[in-house]
Amino acid sequence: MSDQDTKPQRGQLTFSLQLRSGVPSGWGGVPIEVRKRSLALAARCLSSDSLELEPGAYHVTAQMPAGQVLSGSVEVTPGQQQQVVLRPEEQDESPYETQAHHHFVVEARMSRVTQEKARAPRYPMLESMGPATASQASTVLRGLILGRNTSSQWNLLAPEPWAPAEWRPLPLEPDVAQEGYVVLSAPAHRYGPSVIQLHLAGAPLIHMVFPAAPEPFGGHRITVTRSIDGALSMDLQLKNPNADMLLRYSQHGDRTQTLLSERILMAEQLLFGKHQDPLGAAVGAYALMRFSEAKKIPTWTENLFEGFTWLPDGSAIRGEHLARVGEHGKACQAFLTLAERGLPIFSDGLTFAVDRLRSYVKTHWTRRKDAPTPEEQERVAKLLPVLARYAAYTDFTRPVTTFTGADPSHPSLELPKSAWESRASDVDLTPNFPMGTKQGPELQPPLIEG
Amino acid sequence: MMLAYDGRAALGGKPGLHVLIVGVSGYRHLPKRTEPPLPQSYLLRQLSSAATSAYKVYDWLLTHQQSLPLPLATCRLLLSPSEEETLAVQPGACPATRQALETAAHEWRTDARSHRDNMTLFYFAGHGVQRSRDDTVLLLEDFAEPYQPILARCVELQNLYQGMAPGPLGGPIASQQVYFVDACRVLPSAFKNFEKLVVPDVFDVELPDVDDRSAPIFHSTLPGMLSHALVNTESLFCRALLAGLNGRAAMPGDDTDPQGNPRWVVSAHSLNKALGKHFALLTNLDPKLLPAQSVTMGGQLLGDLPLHRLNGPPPVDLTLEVDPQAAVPFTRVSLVDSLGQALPDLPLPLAPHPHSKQVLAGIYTVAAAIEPPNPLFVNWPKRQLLFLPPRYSCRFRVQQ
Repeated sequence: MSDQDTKPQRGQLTFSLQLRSGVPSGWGGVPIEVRKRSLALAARCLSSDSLELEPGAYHVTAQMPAGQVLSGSVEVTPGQQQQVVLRPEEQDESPYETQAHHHFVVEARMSRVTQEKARAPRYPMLESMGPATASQASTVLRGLILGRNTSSQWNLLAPEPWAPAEWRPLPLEPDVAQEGYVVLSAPAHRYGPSVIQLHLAGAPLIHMVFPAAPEPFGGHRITVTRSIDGALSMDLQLKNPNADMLLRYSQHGDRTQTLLSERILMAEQLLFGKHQDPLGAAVGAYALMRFSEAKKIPTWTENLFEGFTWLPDGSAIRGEHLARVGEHGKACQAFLTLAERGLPIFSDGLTFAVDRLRSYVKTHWTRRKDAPTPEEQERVAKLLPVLARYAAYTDFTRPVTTFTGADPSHPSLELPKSAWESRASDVDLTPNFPMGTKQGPELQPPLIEG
Repeated sequence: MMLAYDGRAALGGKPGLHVLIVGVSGYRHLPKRTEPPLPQSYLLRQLSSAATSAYKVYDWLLTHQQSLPLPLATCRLLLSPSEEETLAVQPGACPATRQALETAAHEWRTDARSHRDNMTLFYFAGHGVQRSRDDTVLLLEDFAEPYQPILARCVELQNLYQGMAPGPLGGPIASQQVYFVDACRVLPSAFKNFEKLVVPDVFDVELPDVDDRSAPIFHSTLPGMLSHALVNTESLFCRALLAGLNGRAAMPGDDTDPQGNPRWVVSAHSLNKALGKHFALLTNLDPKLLPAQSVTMGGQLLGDLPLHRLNGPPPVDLTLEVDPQAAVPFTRVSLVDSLGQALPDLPLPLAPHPHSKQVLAGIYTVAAAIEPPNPLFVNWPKRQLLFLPPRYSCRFRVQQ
């Protein structure tokens, strides 16, 4: 009797996601874990894959970036093709179809009633960089793009920082406008360093670096939401939903899901020359930097750096990649190009640049063959404090570079020096983020020190 | 004497875990916690929980030696307790001054270099000033010493981190490292031209050829926000961290025991998930009274890093809720574990409601039946659910 006769025939399993709001279009696949009833791991794959498994009972889960778990169970029978349906718990469903991607990928959206109940009073003694509470008088969003023409660059080493007047309006168009949830797009007709400003009366301006670019490289959107604790939050929604999902898995430090999710982006042929999605490629590269060995980071980081000079993250990614493989002289040169390209869109890039340049400033280059020139070393000494100042006022819990400042060229915690002057291109979000319920009496916390 | 624990002789050259723990509450040049902050002391005051937190991490490592991923080899302990902290007064500890940290760090690194399969753990609790996602300036006991540059008695986390990388001169080093920074990440606005201030290096950093460490960095609070603590006990982060390590952050590992059951483990990955999503729950304090605090993970995690191996599945806080409330008197909830054994002691009706219960982590078959049948309500269909720590909420919608 042969082994094949005694071995049970395997069954084939496919996966289906079932969301009450419908599965958002563009989702290529979600990372899956298949476990036996004993919880022993059977397989990890994507929901778009099919698996061959030995007969038996299995429990299947998919962890979404925003934390919800979709689950289902199946009894695999020999030689059969079966589909297991994965559903979230009822309370984890998205309250609105239009918010499904945000709900499952960025942040769990609660129903309006639950949001009202969930708001907690803020302790007045807390010092915060983040958005203010619902007690603010107005909420305005403003898009800004630097300079007047396509050759404008965010020269971080300019003798004088860019004056506020040099930041021109970048029109924003609301795509979704619901209470507590707004999505806007920013169609751009030229490349240019851009930021989105969130103005909350009585609070420092919040700036988010934004990848404004004409099609096909543009099309990304801005979301403004109110989180469970009542704070306002501004975020970037990438045009490519799979890149957006990968970004969030990576942001949450979820290594397993990140590496699985990264497969989809590579399968979508983000490689240079085949399908050009430089922002998606940047997200993929950042994820690999966090969770993969240096030798597995693909060599197309050089293509990203050379081929998309409007993308500062190409410099940061290339620099970090070279540093990880020991080519520090070339890494230094790559980081230096940020001086002309501007701030990285993703905060990982700013961290890479600041941390590496800080070590390069102290390096005894005379002992190395790949030493930068004295002029380059001088530029490093000038660039580092500029980037370090942005870093000091950046919220690194956010994947997109988000910092406070009176204007984009002056990161700080200061309030704007002059009164806010409305512009025609401003988007007033106050109707979407009303003052809310009356707060209860302030709770006295236990004796807490900071 | 800063080597509070030394197990190197017993290891005989085999890989082990080398630990450096620093806890600073009693900043000798800062006003006491109960005194008003002063501009000349950068609006900072002494703390009263950092040294206690550091001591509790040390104590946890000693108590759980048998279930660490590697045998505990060395533990260097630098503590500067405040006047109120009696627990953190330990004979094996040294004050956490700049000089002491330099010495301890160099000795720690020497030990880390003894074997490539070593593991290291770094824990700091005290004041800190953020400079990037992966960098914080850590303030030591003698910070703000008169007649010294502002940051002379500080240490740069990135300098320690980069100094612990493999290098052409230093050679290989522990390939698994984990860093915990439990610091008030104070805004730099108190320091003028902060971005230009220099922190003296502890290590001369060689630029490594290839850095393939698995070395995550856990930061305990949001940038620009304060890390919070209950006075005269451990910090909230320390509390959550230890709860996580004790099992509240456990997950079934990829490998199995001889019976085919997965080995439960707390890893860097699972700890990050639990601290990120369940921080308030892990502190076991009323969330309404907790200020906002988050944990972020930086560094690089090239393979998951086990931190604590459990003997079996950990407990899960289970909440059972029937919706609508009117159906509670008619709803019988049943839980059957993966071995087919029904969980006893589920009252009918569920009381109190919502009903809380602690069960072991695992897959359960869950059902809710309306008894006796009622035209207003329907049975909740039987489902298999995976209960993982720290908690799971199950809501049974039985409305017709």
